Amino acid sequence: MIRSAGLRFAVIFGIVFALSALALVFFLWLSTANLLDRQVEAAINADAQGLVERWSEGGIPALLLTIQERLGENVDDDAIYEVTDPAQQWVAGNLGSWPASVLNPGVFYELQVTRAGAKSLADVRRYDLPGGFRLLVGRDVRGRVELRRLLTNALFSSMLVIAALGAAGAFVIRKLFRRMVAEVSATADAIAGGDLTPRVRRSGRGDEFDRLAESINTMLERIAKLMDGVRQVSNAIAHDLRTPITRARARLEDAVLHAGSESELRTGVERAVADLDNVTAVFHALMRIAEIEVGARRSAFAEVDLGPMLADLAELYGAVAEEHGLALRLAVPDTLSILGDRDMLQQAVANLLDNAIKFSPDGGVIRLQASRADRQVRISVADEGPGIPEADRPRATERFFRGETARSTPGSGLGLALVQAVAMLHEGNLLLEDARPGLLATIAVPAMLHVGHMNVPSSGPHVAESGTVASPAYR
Amino acid sequence: MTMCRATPLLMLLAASPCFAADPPSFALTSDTAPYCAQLAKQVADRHSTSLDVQRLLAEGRDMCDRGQVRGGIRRLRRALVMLHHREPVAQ
Repeated sequence: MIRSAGLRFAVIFGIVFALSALALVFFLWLSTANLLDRQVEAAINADAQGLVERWSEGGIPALLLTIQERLGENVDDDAIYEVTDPAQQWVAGNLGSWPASVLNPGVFYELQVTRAGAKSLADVRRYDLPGGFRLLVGRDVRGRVELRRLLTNALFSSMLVIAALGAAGAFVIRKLFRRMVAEVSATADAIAGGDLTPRVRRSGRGDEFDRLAESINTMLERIAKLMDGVRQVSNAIAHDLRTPITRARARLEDAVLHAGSESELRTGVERAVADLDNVTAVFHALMRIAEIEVGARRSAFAEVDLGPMLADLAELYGAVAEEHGLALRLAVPDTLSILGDRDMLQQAVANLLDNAIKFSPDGGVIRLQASRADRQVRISVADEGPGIPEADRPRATERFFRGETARSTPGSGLGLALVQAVAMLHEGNLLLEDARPGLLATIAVPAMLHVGHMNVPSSGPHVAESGTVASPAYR
Repeated sequence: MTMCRATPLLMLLAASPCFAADPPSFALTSDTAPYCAQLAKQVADRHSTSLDVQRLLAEGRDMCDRGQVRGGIRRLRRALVMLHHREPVAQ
């Protein structure tokens, strides 16, 4: 029980509730008690002021007459007066003797008085008059004392009610907390048992618990996807690498068994090395994707001007395109800045261009474009090849996925996976659409907000002239 | 006898030195039979013709005679208040 977080929350709630409620009740009690005190003080001061005025007007006889009248008409039976002469002898009033404790004028004193045999409390104040006379004015405050007693009793009674309400609230809080935690716990237990399908149920109220459930479910979706990816990659690695490794082994075996000369043996070994180089390249690509997905390179992000970068790429791939009888057209602004990793972006665009060249028919046109719309920068490569069927597009960015149209072309099925990883590293995405005909692949990433609008060249696109492939690309 | 006035908080906590000892009590003289008689005389001396005043005077005297001093004084005071409003005393 002590280790229960629900109980802890419940106790904290109960304490906070009780303290708040008690503070409120105590404040009300204090305010009421103080108000009553102020009222009595005001009454005494007003009464005394009137008496002093009568003294000023008619001297001691007027004062005594007024006191007699006020006592006579004191229907509430709460007034207290006393006047003493310079010899400190009683002159008038309803108090038998001057209280020795009432020493200083201007100070309120509390006295215990006996009224018709019953004890009561009174507030009194001393006023010094000219000629050595002293005036004492007071009020019986038994009503105030009684009211204060009632309020005090109410305060203590309310403590019990507050404690009961606090306990009830704490119980409800604990139940709610336990119910929510039980839901999450049951889901976690099921997943720990190997079943990745359960999800935390949402109440539909859209509250904090729903948002937590949503976060947990998103996390579980991601984990399930990653697990699928790992499984798929493991299978793909086993399947796709078996062929080149087997082929390399066969070449080596063939060279060892059947090579008639050293040059034949060398040729066989060189072919096997080439096969193994392909295997190494695949592993290199896989590791690069993994590195990108981890996001470690994000710390090296800097402002990248895509204009010159894409122009350079167009120049490099223009030559390759020409060799394949293709035309590469470039339409990018002079400057188009984003925050990112220049090498990664270059690699991603190179992959898209490499794919476009690989799948374009003779005489086809490849378009490399970049633009900014709203808060996004879009880099797109469009070809006139067979494209990717709509049904295959969701899986086209998975590792080792190769559609029907790509089976006959060389490649490892990692190119688009890398592009997607780069786009996600830049908090963007890779969009694959139908270019009618061909494929339109677009990397959409957030633009740098402080960068102004770019100057899209109005003179039309220009075609890259020549160049070499900077790094390997895969589809 | 107290030297200070208890604050509401101190009263709540009942920890005030004002309550430390049982203070002496001062008797009020305005709740006594002689005072009742004095009030009755004040009312009677005004020779009011008001029936209400006369009734209150009679009731007050009667109650004081029967030992119900506070009740008697209350009636006599009401009679004086009525007289004050109807026939103000010359100052």
